[in-house]
Amino acid sequence: MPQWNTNSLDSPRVFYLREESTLADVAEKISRLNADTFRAASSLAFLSNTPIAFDAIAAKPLLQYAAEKPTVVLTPGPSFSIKADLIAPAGFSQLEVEPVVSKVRKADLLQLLEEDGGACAFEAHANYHFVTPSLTHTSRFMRIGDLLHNLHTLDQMAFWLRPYIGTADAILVDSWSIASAILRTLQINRLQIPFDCFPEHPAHNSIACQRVVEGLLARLPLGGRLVAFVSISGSGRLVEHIQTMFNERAAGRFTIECLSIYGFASTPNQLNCFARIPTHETFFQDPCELCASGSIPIHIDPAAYHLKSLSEPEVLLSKSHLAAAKPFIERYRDTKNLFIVHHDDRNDGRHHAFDLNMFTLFSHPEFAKRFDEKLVSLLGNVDLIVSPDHEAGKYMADRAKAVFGCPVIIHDTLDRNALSVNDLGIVLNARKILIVDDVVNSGSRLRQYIQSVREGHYLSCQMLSYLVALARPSTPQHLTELSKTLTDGHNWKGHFHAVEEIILPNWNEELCPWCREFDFISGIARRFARPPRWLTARLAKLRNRTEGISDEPILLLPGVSSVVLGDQSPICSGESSSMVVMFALASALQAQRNDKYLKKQLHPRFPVSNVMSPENVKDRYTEGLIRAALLRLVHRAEWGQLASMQTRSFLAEQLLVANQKIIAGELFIALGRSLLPPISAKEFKSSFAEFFHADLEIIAPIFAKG
Amino acid sequence: MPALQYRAGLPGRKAGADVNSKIAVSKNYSKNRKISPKSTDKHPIPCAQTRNDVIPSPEKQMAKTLQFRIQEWASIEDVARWDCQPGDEVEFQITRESGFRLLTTGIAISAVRRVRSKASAVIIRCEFPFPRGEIHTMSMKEWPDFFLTLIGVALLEAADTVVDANSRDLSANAFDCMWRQILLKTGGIVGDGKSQNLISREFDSPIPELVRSSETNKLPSRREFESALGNIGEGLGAGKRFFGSLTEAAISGFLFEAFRNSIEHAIPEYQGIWGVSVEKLVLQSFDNLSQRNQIPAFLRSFIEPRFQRRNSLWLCATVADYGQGIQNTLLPSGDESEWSRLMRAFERGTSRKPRSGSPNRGQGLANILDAAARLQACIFVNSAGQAAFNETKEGQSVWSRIEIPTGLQGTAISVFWPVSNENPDQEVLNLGL
Ligand SMILES: [Zn+2]
Ligand SMILES: [Zn+2]
Ligand SMILES: [Zn+2]
Repeated sequence: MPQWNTNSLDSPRVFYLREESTLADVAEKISRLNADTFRAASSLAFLSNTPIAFDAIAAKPLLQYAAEKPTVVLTPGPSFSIKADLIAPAGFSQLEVEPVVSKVRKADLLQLLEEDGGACAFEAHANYHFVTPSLTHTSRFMRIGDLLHNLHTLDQMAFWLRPYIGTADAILVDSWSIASAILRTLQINRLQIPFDCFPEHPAHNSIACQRVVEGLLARLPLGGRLVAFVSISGSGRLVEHIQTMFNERAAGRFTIECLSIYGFASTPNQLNCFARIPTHETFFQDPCELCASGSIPIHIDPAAYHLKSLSEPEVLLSKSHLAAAKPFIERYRDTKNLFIVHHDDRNDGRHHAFDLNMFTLFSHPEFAKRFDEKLVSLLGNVDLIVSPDHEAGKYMADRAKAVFGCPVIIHDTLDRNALSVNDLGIVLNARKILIVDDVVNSGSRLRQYIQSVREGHYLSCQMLSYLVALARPSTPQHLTELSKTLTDGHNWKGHFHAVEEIILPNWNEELCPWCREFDFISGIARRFARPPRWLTARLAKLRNRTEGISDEPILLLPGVSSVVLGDQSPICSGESSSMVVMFALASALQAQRNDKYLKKQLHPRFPVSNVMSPENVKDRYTEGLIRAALLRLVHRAEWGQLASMQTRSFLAEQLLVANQKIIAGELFIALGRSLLPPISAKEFKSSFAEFFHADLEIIAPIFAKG
Repeated sequence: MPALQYRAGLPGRKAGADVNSKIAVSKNYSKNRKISPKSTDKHPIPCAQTRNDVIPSPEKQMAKTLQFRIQEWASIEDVARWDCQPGDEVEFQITRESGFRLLTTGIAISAVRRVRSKASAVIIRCEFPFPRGEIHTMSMKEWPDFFLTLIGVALLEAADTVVDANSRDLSANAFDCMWRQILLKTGGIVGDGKSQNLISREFDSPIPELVRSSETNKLPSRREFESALGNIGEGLGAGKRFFGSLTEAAISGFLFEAFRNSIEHAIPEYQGIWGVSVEKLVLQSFDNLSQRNQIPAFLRSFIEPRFQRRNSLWLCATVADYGQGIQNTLLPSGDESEWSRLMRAFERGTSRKPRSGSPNRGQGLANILDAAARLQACIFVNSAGQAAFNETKEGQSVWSRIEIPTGLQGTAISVFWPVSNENPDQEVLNLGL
């Protein structure tokens, strides 16, 4: 019988037993153990999620195999505790739980890493190193989620998580990559406990993480206990983030326990880590020594905890991208209330990030002239005018009728069953139909008309023309497809005509940058009992989507006033409003995203990611207004990983330049929403102090301590 | 007894107050008001400049100070008198008894908004002391009941100055504490065992955290909304599952539709408070309904036949905003009166959101009627000066018009229903019966 003391557990060999295992299985495992492994072990420990009964017959050979090694069995105890028993010839002798659990757990988790063969560890090489989601530079990065690729490992994790999960009232997890272990624990123990994960590391998306915390707190009973799991702690910043978020919202009303499944030997001691990885690990501050020596910092994706793409060709927004929209922009740039952003369309009930007020367009003399020219060019090709049942369509139909002098039918589909007898008669006799419509973007209405004409057997139809006041496809290719649907495979000749044309993103509320601004600044305003005027005034505008925004699309921080475009700009003529610049750039970026030369395309994908070159904001477009508009319009991924760091640093410096203040609000949003790599609260304060004054202290905490 | 009193002096207030004149004329609030000495230099009418409210210059006429004393069970008529001329100061006097009748919340929310948009200063004078000590550490339980209601929070938000019976000036902290220490932490809920309230604030928090779906300002799903109502049920002592029980699921649906309507159709011009309020009415078998001042007259005839001299519990849930009113979101057809336009809004298929492709288009308010019918509940709607009462009689939904003072914006939709004491759901027994 081996001598027992807790030191025997300093280097145990740990085994996980399948459900319903018995002591005979334990004996079996020991008997099959590799001799070297056996020799290296100071003791043997067995884990089981189901109870194990003592069995004297199995114990006898077991103790012989195990010879001088103490053998312990860890099984579930009452109230989610763990029961630790030493196997002795006459029965189990119960051990004091705490030292056994922490030692065995540590050994077990490290053993898991070892058996994984390093698959979850990324080691740096001479010419690169890693930037963890917490923005720490390091020579090694571990992705704990990668350990969890079989049920066995999940169950093993579940064994260690059970005591904490079973006694929690809500569970917070730092990353979805380890959520399976938590869910498995809940499943095995048949528990229904509120649970959520950070969508990204809080250094990247603090607001989303705060929402997760708030969501969980809302589901906690008073005095409830929140248990937070961090997959791996390096510098300890993540735990600090969680503690702060919790303290700000719930201190005194609820309790919290933060646990790190893994840590490093160098991780601060006050952190409760189940297992510390002994390898000496170095962390560096940004900008770090490795960066300085020319090593490339490789970012770890803050949501997936995976490596980001390495190949990141940088592309430029060029004159050719701006060219397509230029004629339209130049013609109408002085028209008040034509350009609207963040607007609910009363006609189709949809939200448009970019919209144009059709009636303003109609009343523009230049447009009226072009419209009439278009109509005249169709003379002889029209004997019936059809318009959808909305005001803009009716206006166009009236104008067309004045030119063609033929009948008009106002109908949304031309569906044979939905037409009046009289109208059907007219349609059946028509040979040359002209459908007028105000806007085409997706072309769904046109398809509906075509379907009706085909299925309605309107056999006299020889020509079907479609005239829209404004074609606003989201890609140039789109228009070509649209005209094809009009003619391809039909018995009639067909033509597609547009009085005006502009490529614009067809972003709905999910993608609308102003909807996202509303989310972001409403979160800022909520931090104030009395939100400052600049916030409420802006929020009032953003809240009113029925009106949309037709004056200032840019967020102006206190002390910053609206600006117009300077002379000799490549965008459009001088003095153009910020709204016009916004539309011109939205269109140009859309052209860049669809550039037919793939190398020039803005195309942020994996593994090759064409991203916005920092040169765009550095040398190419130096006007504050253009930079501000780009900050509003370029997506997160489009700024790239490495490129975005340069872009951010450059723009943050530009805040100090007198004629660049217009970028402040947009940069604030871009940093706050993590479109660009966020800055620390300290950096935020020094860069934005002149705009926020007394409000600074309330706003700064949305950025991570640094 | 009217709640509105043009009085300058309060009982128990010391020298300096002009007791005889009905309207205290003052150009400078600080001159004839004794708040704490520091208040005038630190917070000279603290919020006037930071609000987007128009404060017209009071040159032409002398600005007055109007005082409104809020009685126990203040009525719709009482609350509708909360008004002033541009530039006036308005003082609300609050006692320990101050409170409101059922179905008064909607009018009050609009009236607070009206006062705020005109007054040069809004003052809350509490005729009781606030708990001693640091106001920022006050928990919900320590707050005076009055402020744990939708109306209380709205007044607090509107007030520039808050003073208690010990002349303690709480102006700088009262709303700050309510917002940051209570509402942000509960996700938007305040209340006690008598009422529970979900607070929305324009423009930044129209959808309170608790009922918001994830990180955006998007409306929650019906299910998410329902689970948030669990907290209201819990606060009322009915348990987290109350609004999810079979009967009350219709109420969640009702509240959800009304709430969604307020979000989607509000084009608020002013910042301010609106939201959801759920109030409790407890009747004892021996109660004489005509002596229960909590019940407005027009509601009495609904309760009477259903009361049957049994201990019973009733709930009144209201969604109240200060927006433009239901009828004003519909395009007028012909020379239709406001009243018929309001009635039209409740017809199936009438949509206030033109041509949307969603299958729910035009169903919102009609769904509300269905939900009420299922519950044997009555509905009270007040919408920009029009008020309507609806009950289901012999399977038919019947509307009647209620006269209310005109001149107020806002929409409030209330549902009032008996929480049956025969309900097998055990949790109901904890509701105070
Ligand atoms: Zn580095
Ligand atoms: Zn939008
Ligand atoms: Zn549209």
